[in-house]
Amino acid sequence: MAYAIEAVGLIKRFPRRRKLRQIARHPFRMETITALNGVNLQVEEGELFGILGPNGAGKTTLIKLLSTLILPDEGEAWVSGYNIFHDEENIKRSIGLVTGEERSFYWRLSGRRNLQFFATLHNMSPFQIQKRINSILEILELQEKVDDLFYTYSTGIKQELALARGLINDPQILFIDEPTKSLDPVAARNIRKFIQEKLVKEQGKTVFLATHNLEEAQQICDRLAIIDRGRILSLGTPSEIRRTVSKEDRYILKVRALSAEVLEKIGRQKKVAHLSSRPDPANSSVSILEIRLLEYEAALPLVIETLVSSGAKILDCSHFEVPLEDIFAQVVKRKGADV
Amino acid sequence: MWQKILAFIKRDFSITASYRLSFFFQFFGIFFSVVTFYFIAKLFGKAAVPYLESYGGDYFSFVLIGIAFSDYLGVGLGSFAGTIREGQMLGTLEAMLVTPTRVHSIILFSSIWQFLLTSIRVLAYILLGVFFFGVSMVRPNIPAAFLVLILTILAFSSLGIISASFIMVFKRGNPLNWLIGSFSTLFGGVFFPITILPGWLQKVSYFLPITYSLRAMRHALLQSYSFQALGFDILILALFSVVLLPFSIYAFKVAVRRAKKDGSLTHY
Repeated sequence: MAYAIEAVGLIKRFPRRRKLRQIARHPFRMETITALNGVNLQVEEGELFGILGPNGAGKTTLIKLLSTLILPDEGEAWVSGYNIFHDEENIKRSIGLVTGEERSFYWRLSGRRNLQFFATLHNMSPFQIQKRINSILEILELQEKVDDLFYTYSTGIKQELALARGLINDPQILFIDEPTKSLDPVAARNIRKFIQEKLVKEQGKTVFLATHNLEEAQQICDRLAIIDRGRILSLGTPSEIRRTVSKEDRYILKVRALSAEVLEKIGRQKKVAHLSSRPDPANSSVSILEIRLLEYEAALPLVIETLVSSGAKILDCSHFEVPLEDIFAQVVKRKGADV
Repeated sequence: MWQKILAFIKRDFSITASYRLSFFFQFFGIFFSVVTFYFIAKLFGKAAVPYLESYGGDYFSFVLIGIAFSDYLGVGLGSFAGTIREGQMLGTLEAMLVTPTRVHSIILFSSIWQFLLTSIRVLAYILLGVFFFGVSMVRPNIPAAFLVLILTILAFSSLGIISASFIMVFKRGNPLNWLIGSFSTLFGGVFFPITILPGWLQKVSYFLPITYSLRAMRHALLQSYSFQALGFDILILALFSVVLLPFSIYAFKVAVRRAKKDGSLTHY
């Protein structure tokens, strides 16, 4: 099966800058920093794939490598079926790169002029350029601002223009590096919504998103890879990753007319890992149950059936997932210790 | 290709024109430079004639061609490296490098505006000299001068591309620019004919493309030399281009690959 992006055993080391004293002592010694250490991953077409990690984990290095700005020291990768060593031009035709780097525009040109310039580098004809720019501006609602000079734009508009540039050649694969890092919550939400709904769901593009924002990764990514110190520590859907750390699902139920016998019966059920009860401070006739379930798909209906059939009234049922910060911290701690 | 060249020129013209004061002041600079050398030439009077016989005997005409066309040396040496460094510092190089346009095209096309602007400045020097300061150009051999100019640009650009290769890898401290620029100004016949130099120093001049470039340009414009009479200088310039250009392209390819391996393609 052809993947949109495939990486096998990618290793990338950078030379470490040494102090003069060190060079004087050992002039021929080479020191390196390993930015990527055996990265393997596959991204399917039409997937919104997130690469999640702290600063310095290797996210940007991986994106630069896949977009042919950097060559790996070992390993191979394919983007749109093209090899990063041999088919650089074909890869560049099929990808767009969006960074949060506002320096990458010409501040003394308007947004439109910037887009026209970069579109020309994609070998687009003047007619195609005009049509494409107008189409993107309409989707991103940038028509009003596009003829102002770039340096007058707010951070949000600059980021939207970066997205516009990444889309200018209508690429099938989009590499997006921390698109919301400098944005306010509303602007960030709009960008995420645009990526998930417009680009991936509607247009079927493959998006490879690097982020250190856990909430963002959880909200919009189909699958995630957690990376730290150049290694992929965990890979899968947010639920699958959660499962590698915690196999339990936590539920809080508010129940009226709950008897001790029913509570005991629920506690004996196979998939109930933990059960506790306390009275609701606001209403002593209501009990607050905290239940942790294994395989909730089978266990939860059974618990509810037990409560309902006993005559208890379920006033509220809330599902609490283990926070992704905890998942992330545990994955990094656990896998980091193994390394 | 032409569409891309036009796009680069439009980009660079728009950016240059947006710095309006700077754009106009450079022409004031040309005026003051011309006036300065006019009065220096008056100071020499006829004393310099013996050294300038083959150029018509007039020092002002001699030096005007020198300072005007040595601008091409500066642009040729500096523009390619300057493009890379500016792109790295501005952050725009990365955005250009993810497009299918090859890096050597980006560097080449980015320099075209600089050469165009230099041509405008050279024209300003010559027009000022001819119409206001009495420079005599009777029947200049324009086609020959144009050929010399093309070969000059090729030779200087080759050196500039080698210089850019250095910047690509080492980012700063480019010795090539300084070395060739300084030697060319001193030994290349920009401000004085090389025949004034001691014999052993004149040998240095013969290794510099600017020596042949300025000599041929002066002979074509001031003395109406024919293609045949300029043959030797044209041949040497062509040889410089034939040897340096392929080497410079190779050096640049190696530099780009090295920078990609180091991961420093867009660092400054």
